Amino acid sequence: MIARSAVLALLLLAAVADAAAAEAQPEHRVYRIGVLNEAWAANHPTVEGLKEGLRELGLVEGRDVAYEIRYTKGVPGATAAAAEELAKAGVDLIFTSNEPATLAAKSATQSIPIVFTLVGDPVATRVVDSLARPGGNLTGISSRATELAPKRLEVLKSLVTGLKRVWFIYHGSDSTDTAALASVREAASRFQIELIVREVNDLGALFIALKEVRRDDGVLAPVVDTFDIPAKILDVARGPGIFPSALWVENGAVISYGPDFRAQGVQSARLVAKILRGARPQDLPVEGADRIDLAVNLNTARQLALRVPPRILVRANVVQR
Amino acid sequence: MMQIHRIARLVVADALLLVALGGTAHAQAPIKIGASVSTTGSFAALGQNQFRGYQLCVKHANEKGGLLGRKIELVTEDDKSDPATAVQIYERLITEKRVDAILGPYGSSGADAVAAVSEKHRMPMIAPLASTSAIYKKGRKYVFMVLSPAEAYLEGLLDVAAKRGLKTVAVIHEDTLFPNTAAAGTVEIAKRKGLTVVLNEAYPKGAADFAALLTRVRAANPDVLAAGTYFEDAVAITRQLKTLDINPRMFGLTVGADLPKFYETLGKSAEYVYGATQWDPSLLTLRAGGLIPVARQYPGAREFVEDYQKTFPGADLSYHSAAGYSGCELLHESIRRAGSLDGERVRAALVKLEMNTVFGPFRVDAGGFQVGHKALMIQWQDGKKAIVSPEELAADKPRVPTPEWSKRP
Repeated sequence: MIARSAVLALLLLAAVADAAAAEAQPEHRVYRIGVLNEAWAANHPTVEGLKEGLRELGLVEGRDVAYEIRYTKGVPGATAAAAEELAKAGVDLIFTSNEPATLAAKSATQSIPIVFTLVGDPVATRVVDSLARPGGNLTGISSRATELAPKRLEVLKSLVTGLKRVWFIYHGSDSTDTAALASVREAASRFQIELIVREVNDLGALFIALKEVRRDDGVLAPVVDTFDIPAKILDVARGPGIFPSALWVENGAVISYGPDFRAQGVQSARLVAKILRGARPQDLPVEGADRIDLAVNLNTARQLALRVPPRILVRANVVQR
Repeated sequence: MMQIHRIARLVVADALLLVALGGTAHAQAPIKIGASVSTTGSFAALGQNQFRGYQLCVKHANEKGGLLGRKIELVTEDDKSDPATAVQIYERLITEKRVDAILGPYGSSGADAVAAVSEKHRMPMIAPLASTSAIYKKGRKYVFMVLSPAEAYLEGLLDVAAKRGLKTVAVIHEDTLFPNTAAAGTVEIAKRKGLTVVLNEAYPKGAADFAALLTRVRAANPDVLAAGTYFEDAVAITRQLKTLDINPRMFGLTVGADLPKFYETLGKSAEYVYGATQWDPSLLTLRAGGLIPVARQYPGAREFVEDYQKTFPGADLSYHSAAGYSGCELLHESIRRAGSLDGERVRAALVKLEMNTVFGPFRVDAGGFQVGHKALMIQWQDGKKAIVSPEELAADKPRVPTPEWSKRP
């Protein structure tokens, strides 16, 4: 009898001790971040930026954070499927780059927090209710496309003397570029440029449009990777295109104006860390991308027989020689 | 009157005949491009790849109408991987066979030796596979570089090592021009990145047994083993690292590791090995930052790869093939721009030339030293080459550290 009570007492003590121990040391969690974008590989610059930003905030890959990366190569249906997959996998947070991926994530889950980057106009594209109070489960970095699209037109006009026609080619599902249309039209009219708007929904329409671009036309490349449209503009269009980030200029585009992709990733890390540690997305205002680059590729300019005017060279913070 | 007419007709007929004969003969004489090629000897594997590049480029050029309205004929001889033999061959090609232009031999030692001939005869020599900087810094006027410099071959390896917090490097290398230069450059870069060089040793050309040297490497216990090699020694060293069970956390090679043949020869022992490369077929589908296709920096590369496989079925395709092809492309373009075969004019065109070939960007300084082209680092992962440096092209992460031999599947 005595022995059994002793055993019971010991067991009770052990249980209490266990509970105490569990409380005293918080369980070390590895946060799972689902990553969703339309790139062709895992090393999208916003993702590299996010990893760098989180590292600086003490959240190290492997030890504190694990990334489950889904890139869908600009294939329209694949993004929605990948979003569903991440939601089902029960990740702690979903990190997206560009608007199709963000909207796909928003459709797939209304509870898992989502932090976005490269969304050009989060309110117009209904990603959030307002920038100050996003509502819902999303917040992130706005790449300010609606504001910047007319500026891109202006930069292109500065580069190409006597520019008369500019093409604006984008995928039909691309609401960021659609949202920017009104301000682009207004700017085109102000600069006395003929704006040719081509919304394309299949590869056939895309190539027809691209083949019509003349050598002395300009092209406003869309900010979204759907259908690989920007890459195809770079490859096929005979006239100079303006692109949304310096990464393009580093790889052959003649000029770009827009926020740095990697920097948006770094900027978003603060939001991600706050949310992982308990904050709610609806309470974190959307931030505007804080670093805008004007980049120019002098080699490509030479090949296109374009003289880069001094006022562009002076403003450019990235110059590819 | 009749006589004058008759004479006039004869003169006209004669003139026409002359033009006809001269024109035909002129149009039919091919432009002869001479080169020595290393089809036998220690450079054979890579020399043959370069040779195929030359041959394919000439074939394509002829299909597109030749050069300056004439067909191109490639005139070559085997230099047996010996620089002295290469020198004799070029001398013969220029003075006896009277070639109109030349393309360089395989490798740095070959190009350095042959440069004396091209300088003497004032004939531009593009050396597509000579990466040793010193060759282009001796005040020579007629030698032109295509590759990124030897000194920087292993920069990617050390870059990854430093980023992963590794601390020590051992350097071993064949005792000839290119591996010596690559090793010296590696030591320089190691210092710049704050890594300590714990061993730096050369071995003679043709060495087959590295046991003693590798035992000294084991004793130095480096995090990183960097080796300045060609193909045969690269294979032998890798094998002996396994037999002796020596386990650096990273092991990288200058030449040889990037060849498909390296994996074919070594099988799983090639896993985790890093290799420098100047070009890779995967560049055709790679995207910078996972977004932007880099293929446009390598115009014609897709067609080059497809036709190479069709024309030489089963043959090894490496950056040496692409560099050879590119050297011929560059010669072709500079002759075309010069509008002449005159050595001075062609030289002037080459110095000014800025061009993307199947091999990538080409741009040289006044001494012919390459400033446009960038080198890459690969690592064998699951039987495939993954580009792990530079970072923006690295769709795959490097697998660090290399697991010990005994712990591998």
